[in-house]
Amino acid sequence: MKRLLALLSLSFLLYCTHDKPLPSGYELLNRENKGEIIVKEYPATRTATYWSTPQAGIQNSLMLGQLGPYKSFIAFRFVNFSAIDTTTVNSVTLNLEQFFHYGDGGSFQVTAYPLTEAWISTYIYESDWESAVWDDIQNKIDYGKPIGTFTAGPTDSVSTVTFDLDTAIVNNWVRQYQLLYNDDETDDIEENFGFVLTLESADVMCQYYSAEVSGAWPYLSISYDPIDQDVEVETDTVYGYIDASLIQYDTDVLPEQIIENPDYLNIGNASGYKTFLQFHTEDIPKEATIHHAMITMNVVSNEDTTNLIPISVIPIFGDSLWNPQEMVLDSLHEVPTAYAASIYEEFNMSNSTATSNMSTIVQHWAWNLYKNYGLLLFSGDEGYSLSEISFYSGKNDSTLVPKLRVTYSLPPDLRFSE
Amino acid sequence: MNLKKYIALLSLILTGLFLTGSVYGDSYYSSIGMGMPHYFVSPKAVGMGGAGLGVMDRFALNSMNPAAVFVQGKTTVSLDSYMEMVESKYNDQNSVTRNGNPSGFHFYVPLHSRVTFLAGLKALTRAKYNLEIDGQTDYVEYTRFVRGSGGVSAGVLGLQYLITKNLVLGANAKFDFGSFNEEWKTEFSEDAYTDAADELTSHLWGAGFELGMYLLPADWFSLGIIYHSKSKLNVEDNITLGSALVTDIVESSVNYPQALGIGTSVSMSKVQLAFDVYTQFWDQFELDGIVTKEFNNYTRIGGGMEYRDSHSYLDAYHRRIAYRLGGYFSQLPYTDVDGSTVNELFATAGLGFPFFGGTGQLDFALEYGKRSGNNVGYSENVLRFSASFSGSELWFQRRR
Repeated sequence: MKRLLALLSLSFLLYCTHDKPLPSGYELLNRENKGEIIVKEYPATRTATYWSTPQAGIQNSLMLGQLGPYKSFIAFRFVNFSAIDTTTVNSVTLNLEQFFHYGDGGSFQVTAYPLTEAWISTYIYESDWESAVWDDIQNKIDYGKPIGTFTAGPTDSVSTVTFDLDTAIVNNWVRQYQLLYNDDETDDIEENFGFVLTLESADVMCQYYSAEVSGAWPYLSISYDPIDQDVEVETDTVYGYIDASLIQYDTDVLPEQIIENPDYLNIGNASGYKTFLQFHTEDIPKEATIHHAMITMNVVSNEDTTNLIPISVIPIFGDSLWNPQEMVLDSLHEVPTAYAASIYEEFNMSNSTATSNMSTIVQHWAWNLYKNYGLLLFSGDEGYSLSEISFYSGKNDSTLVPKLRVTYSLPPDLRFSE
Repeated sequence: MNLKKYIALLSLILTGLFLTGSVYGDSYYSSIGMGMPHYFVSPKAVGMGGAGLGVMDRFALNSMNPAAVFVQGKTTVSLDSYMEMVESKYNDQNSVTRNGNPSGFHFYVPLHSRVTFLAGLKALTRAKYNLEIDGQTDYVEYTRFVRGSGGVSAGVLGLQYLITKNLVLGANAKFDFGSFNEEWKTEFSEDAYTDAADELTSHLWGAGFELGMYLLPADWFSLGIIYHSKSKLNVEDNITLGSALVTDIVESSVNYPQALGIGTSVSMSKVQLAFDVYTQFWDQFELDGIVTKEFNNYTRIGGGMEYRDSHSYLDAYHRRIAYRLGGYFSQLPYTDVDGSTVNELFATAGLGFPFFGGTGQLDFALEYGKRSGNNVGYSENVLRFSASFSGSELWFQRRR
């Protein structure tokens, strides 16, 4: 009997299971509400656009030149002269890796001037980047003391271009570094605030790799007489500590001036144009599970120009007036991002990461976790290039209005419900 | 390991399995109401079309009629389990599912020559279903899955009192408990869409009682009558949405309906006949005190026979094996979507193998039948294999 008991015990534990869906059971299921999938399209009920100077110094590129409404200078600061053991600098060249250019124009004249005041602090904080814009820096240039004049222009391929700089100012920077290193007084020496490359006019915009690009940093090549007399001449390299494109956008529209309900919604890398959209999704029930949320916009397409811009979407937490100075941007959600191309007629934020992140935003709106003050759309490559893109706002043709398409499901009836 | 230790271990396992919810062969009908009624009288009755309300037999430990228990002064335990294969058909589509699990555990201790203590766990209803449908919006294809399981079980404690040889009464206090779990999942054909599942769980608990009577007007004829009270079950619904939103608990109450049954048995020297009629009043099913669902009464009519050449332990073993045949018809509480009634028609067969010392018995049964409505085109063919062990020893008795 004991063996039989043991066998029976085992059979209890080793029961087998084979699951397979029952045919058509779902259709027959006796529930009034089975939680169907619902798709709703929300047109933007409010649109606006504005521009602000892109944050400088954070992109992989430096732009120098002029094209259309854009002119760009480059600011540099080199600080680490520890390798330069000298009191006499013989020659200095600025080396930049040029990788692209916009426009069909030819070469143009570039003049380098020293900067007379700090335009960025020793320590790099985000707030410091905001100061590295043309409006702030233009009054800190000592136009009376050019430190180099040279020619820049388009190149056919990626190549290193070199510009000669004045040795006297670099001698000062080296001397200052040595005194600071030895904790000596530096009062009689002009402080190293860096320098800026400027130009009067051009018909081309050149792009160089910035200090953000590993292996292609801008650098100074310094030839000097070392203190050690046994060596005649030595050449060393000093890499860029900080650099920034100083983009000037020539337009009648004031920066941070909100244009409500415009004909076109702009987003740009050089202009710093951004777009506001608001979708009223209040009718989505709190119990809804958002499976998919996607923004669709109609592009003012241009088949001749392949402008490709990574467009990011960030919810606005506060200030329903969309005042750029006062609005509070969301820092909690993952930012939906998708590339928009000017050659296509439609832009869908359809990649899985973007729709997933957008779904989370809409879900939180449905829960009323955050109030829906709208969305800010901007380029993740602001300051990188001259790419710009425009979308129809739908003001003149409602079929072209930006849309938010939401797919959600509602929970089914409870098993024990009336 | 002796019987006591086995019983303790098995009790623990079975209690755990009951508390975590039993699973059975899939049935679409179990998605309705409180699931499929589970009708089980005794291991012997399974092979006889489930008929046994009026049968009192040494190792046919009756889980429906507390009066029809005969332990012959010995502590007796019974363990029941079964495996079910269900072929579900809808027009030209079909699927086969199978599942198995314990279905009952009974423990009987004679306290006195006239009084027996009864305890047990048994399934009252069961639910298991796995449904899916393909759908599409204007933009994407998707599949909706509904996976449900659970059921209501009962723990019983009771007494059987032998008034006379011809009249026995029994009563059980019954604690009903159970849960139903449902997962509603949506899977999309494109990665850009987030799959998600809503999970709905209902916990139920309540109490009731069972009464039974066994009459033996003649040595060859017996009668069993049962009444099971309705149980008001408290329901607590928990919903975890696919969005991760936790909703408030929804509280309600339902009643597990009362039931009446009557069974007869005719015994001859080698043959025993049994016939049962049982009705559970599902038309009185209430949600929060209101009749909200139009359920039918669960009506079951079953009958069968057992042939055993000899009951003497001195005879050859093959002569002591019990052979059983039977069948039953039942009308389920639930209707098809068009409102038509759903019926079951089953044929049963079984074998009973007594232990050599007469201290126990192994019972096996096969049931095969069809469960269907009239018009919808959906039906279920069910093959069920049952196995039960019944054993006894002398406990709690002074040695003389």
